[in-house]
Amino acid sequence: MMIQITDLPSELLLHIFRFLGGYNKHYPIINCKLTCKRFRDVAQNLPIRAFKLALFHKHQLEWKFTRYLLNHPDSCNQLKRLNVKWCKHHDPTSQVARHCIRKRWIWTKQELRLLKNFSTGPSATSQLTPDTYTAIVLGVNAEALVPFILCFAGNLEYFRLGEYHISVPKAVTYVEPSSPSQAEVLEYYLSDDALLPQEGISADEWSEARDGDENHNHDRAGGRRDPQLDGYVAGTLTQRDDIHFPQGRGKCLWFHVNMCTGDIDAGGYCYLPGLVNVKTLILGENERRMAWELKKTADWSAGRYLAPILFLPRLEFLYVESCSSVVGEPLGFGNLKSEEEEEEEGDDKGNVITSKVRILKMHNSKMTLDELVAAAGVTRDLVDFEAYPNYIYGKLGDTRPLVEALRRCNAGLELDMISIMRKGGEILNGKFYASDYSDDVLIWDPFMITTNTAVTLGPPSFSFQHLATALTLQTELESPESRADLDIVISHYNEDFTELKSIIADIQKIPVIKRLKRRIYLYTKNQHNFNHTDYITRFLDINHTIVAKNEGREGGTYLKHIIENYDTLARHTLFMQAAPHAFSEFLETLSTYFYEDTGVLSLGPYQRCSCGACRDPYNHPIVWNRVPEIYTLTHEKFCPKSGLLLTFKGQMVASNKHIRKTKIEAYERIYDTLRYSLNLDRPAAIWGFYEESVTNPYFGHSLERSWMTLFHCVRPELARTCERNRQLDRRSGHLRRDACQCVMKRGKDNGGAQLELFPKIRSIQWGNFSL
Amino acid sequence: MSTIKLLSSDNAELAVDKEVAERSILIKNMLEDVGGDMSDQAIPIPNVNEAVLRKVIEWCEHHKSDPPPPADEDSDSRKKSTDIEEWDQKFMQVDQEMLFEIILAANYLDIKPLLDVGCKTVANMIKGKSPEEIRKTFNIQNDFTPEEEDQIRRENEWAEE
Repeated sequence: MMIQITDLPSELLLHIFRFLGGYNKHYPIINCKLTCKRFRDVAQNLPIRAFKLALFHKHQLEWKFTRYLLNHPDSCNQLKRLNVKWCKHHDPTSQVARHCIRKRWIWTKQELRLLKNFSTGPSATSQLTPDTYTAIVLGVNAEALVPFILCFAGNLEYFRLGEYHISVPKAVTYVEPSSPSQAEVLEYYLSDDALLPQEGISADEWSEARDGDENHNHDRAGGRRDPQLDGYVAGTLTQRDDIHFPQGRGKCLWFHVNMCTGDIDAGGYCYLPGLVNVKTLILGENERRMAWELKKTADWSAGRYLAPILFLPRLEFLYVESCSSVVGEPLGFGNLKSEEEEEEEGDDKGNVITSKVRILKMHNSKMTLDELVAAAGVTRDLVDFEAYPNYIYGKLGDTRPLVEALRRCNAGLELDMISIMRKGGEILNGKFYASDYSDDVLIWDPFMITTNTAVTLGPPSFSFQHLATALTLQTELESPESRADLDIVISHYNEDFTELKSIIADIQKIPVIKRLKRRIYLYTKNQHNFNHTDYITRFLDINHTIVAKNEGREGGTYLKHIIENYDTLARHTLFMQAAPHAFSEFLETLSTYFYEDTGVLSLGPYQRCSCGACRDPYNHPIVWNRVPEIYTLTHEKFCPKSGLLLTFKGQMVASNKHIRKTKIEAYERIYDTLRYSLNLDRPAAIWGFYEESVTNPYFGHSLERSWMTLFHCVRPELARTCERNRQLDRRSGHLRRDACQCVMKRGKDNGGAQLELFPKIRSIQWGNFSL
Repeated sequence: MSTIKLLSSDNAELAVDKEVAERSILIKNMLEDVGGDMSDQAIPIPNVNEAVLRKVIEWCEHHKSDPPPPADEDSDSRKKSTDIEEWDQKFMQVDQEMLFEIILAANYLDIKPLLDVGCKTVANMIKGKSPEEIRKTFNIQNDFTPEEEDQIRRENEWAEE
């Protein structure tokens, strides 16, 4: 006896069919079903495990799938992954829309009967609201099929709702069906009785649909063209009133409306079968998208619908997009919050419902801080939290209450697993990019600190009090009295903190600097950092972060530092901007020339000018006539015949002796002048594009060139000698350090104090304190 | 290395390394049940004839050092692809009757990797073929009326594209 394929037992045939690629590459399966009855019957049992549901498909595949489901209610039993995809055709502005959206799906009489049975029967499908069925029955809004399908997928573990633009409903308001045809469809649906021909469909077509108990013979493109729906294409959306989107339930989809019944206070939610076992829920397109990619997904009401989602019984991963606050719709766990407070106060660990979510990502969420805090308060198992608020709406202010709430409730949440991004910046691979200069400068959020930075992060029990205490202690230890060898003063405006961190690290790697006792001061002009100075200090592993007004560019910062620390200046002070000019040369000059006898060393280029007309060497028409005046002010004598040494870019090292050669009163005078543009006439013809403003002052630029003068390094020949860098002494062959800097005279300026100046390693262990 | 004897349905006795025979979960469990010592007695394999049994043993011989298949019956990796390694492809170049016999034997003897290879081979024979071509390949009678065919097509339209 010849054995044939049809002799194989059914379970083996099914096993073979399983290898055909399921319903994603469907033709093999369909062709199997078409081969013979035996194959058809076996293939019918092939479970659908993953399915991509295309909504608003031009061939109305979603309706056809639902039709299949009506006839084979078990076919979604094994469905584990449901991925909803919104075809671009549903965008009425798209040309493709022409071909699909004005088609409505028309059910046959038999199918309508099935629908009716489902809507009234004992199964989960009767949980759907009546108007959801209206939307399905009228065959217009395919989204209504989503909750319907979820009724049949009790084993679903992964559900992605996709990027729902909903440009259609945005403009549409629903009114009770007014046109006779709609009323008739509904009446037919409700009464299972006679039905009049529908408008836009020929009497013959309709009677075919009405009378045939067989499946209606839709054309391949699916459905019927409905002239009523031409409005979508013609752009008269606001005129349309029959698309059947949920009404009176806030911003939402049919999915939201039908997720569950019941409420949190009355015994909890009763979810659709398809949601009961869901572990991964992605309400949006892609959990990996960055904030700037989130533009299209339509908003839904956080107040009404976030709570039931958070409380899904098996949910572990939740990604929500465009979850937004709506006035008058508070978060659904208002009562819960009070229970929790009770718990805290009275230690009553009653039946507080909590969320099982472990990973929570809220992108483009337009929620208030209070709401986010409330949501955080019902979580217990979070190990990862991400919130990227909406660009425009996303002014969260101080996020500390949110972080506190997250931490209070979630013992497993580590510091680096919280990221709250705010307006004006993006996180890419843990690196933070500043936005362009603008008034809306970024708020750098310290909670993005990652573990691979040098900062030792606190344990999960980290709290702000702890941090504050630790910082205070450390500050006491590092009080101004404890003398440092080198102060690094950084003027920061809006520069990237991550880059700055590496810049600081590079500087401290220079051997001569490595062995010095250092203090690092960051003066930031970004007012948004005001509440975060502690964290910035910690992140950068520096000693002080000071928020300063943006007055007089970096010069104002340096003057402020000098004036406030005049008596306690370190042996040397390195002045620099957060983004140093020509950083590699900066490093090279510093490591080559800086040594214990350095008096003043510029890390920018040297130039010279004459006292008569201090012309800008790079831009000849500009005369810096304030520069000789600054000489006179600080040296208390007239400008010398030899001219002046200029420097640029505001980066240099100076010894405290040299700094103090100019009296504090002179510094104050210059600082005041810089801040208030005191007593400065404005000879416009001279300084061209420079303004006498506080933020970009002509005087400030004069100051930038005058640091050598201020620090009493008047050796115009440096502009020549330092140009030929790394001059070697003819006799000794050693580097001639004085070719590029003013050197302190030993014994005279600092006596024999150099031994004390450069003591052995006394390293500062920042970031290693334990919390 | 101990050997055991298998007795095919047509009463042929084949000596096999125990390790090779234990690719069959059925035989493995049987040996465990009797305490492992079957050296004097042939194990009857009543559903498999000598030719097929030799073929199955050949496969087990070649795959004796493979790692055990994943325990999970529904494991996705098992079904993901119809790729078959080269040796197995050559091994499966047999007539259809032998192919189905191997599948049946692998199923009976509980050798999941061999069952999968056999079923993948058949699946590859189905893939890319029209219903008529499938019928021709496996010598199947079309027992549908045109209306029934239409119905199947319509019902499965959702899976088009």
